[in-house]
Amino acid sequence: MKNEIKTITEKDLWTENPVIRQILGICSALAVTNLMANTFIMGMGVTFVTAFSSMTVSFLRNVIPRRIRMMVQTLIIASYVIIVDIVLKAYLPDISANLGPYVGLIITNCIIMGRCEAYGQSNPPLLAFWDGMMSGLGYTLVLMFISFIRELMGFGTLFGISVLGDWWTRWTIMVMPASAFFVLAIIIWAVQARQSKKSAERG
Amino acid sequence: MKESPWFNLVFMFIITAVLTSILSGIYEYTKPIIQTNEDITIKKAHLYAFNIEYPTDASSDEIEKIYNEKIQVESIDGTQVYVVKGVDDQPEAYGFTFAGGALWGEIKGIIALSPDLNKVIGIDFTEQNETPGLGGRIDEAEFKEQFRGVDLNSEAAPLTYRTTSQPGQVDAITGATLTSNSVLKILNETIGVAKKSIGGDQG
Repeated sequence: MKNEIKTITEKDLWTENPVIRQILGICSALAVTNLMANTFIMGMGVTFVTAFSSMTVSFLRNVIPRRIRMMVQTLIIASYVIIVDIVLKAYLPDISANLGPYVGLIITNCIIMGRCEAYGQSNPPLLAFWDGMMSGLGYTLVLMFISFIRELMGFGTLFGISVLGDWWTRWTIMVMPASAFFVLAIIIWAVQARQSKKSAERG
Repeated sequence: MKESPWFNLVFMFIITAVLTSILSGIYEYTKPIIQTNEDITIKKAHLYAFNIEYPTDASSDEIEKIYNEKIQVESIDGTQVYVVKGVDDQPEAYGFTFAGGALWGEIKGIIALSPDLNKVIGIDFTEQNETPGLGGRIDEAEFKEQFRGVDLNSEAAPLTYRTTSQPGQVDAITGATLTSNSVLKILNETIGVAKKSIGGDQG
């Protein structure tokens, strides 16, 4: 059990990171990463939904008929996403307005259904919860890194607090969604290059 | 038994019923909070259109107070009009809410006009679902600010866009022609209604 937790953590956060290694959840990685605050809330939302969906699927894994499991999973995921949406609207209206339709679109985030299918439905609930949470955090980590670069260069701020001052010329392109393509691609390239070098060294 | 279609059907019914009941519970609980938030968002939009300043960190009670002090709702010829009154109860500005279809869905908002209806004081949107980054940019200050102080005495239509062949008052959004045109159409119609209802009053 302990070993399992460790393997899951390592895999989801790094060696099989959903965004940079599996290239999942890219749409939202492009859409919500221009401000760190928004990215953080989005990441927490995805983490919450992934963890609880995976756990719920795991609880019901012996009851869900195999033929309709996709329908059931989607239903479960959709319910959690709506919960996140309602809670944001009620308690964080500004961020909810900023994220707009992207909260609802968490439903279509492939990471979540991927985890339910690949892990939740064949493992016990607690491990499934942990796996979902770590996948969500792996996603959040990469997105936070992208938004760190984008907000810093695009606005000269971090979490809305000015850090670079007035001398900094803002890179408008960093505010636009297109820049996330560049930043994400550079990150993926750097990580892949490092990983393949490592595995080459190992022989 | 697990693979029988009846079991699948019953299972789907039960899980849908359970999940939707949980969601309705959460929805009912947060409904009043969400309603207050939406109400405040609309009031902030109205204050913005009337160019009435309020502290950026104002609480919802403060917004409510400023709003009730400054803006009154009157019915003139069956049209709901928001009125800002100055000294001697003379109207300083009239506000008209507008609504109409655009590219993806309904656009709602308010336009504030000078008492003689010849100048725009400001516009703001309270609801729009246009493409983020393209049509969605109608909700950005850069677009909305250009309406402030625009003269409405041109011959063809009250408001027109600047084009290469035609001098207009405001710029459309590049890449969002349909949204831009819808906004202009809705605004011009609203100005027409405004002139009819208020103009009748003043002869």
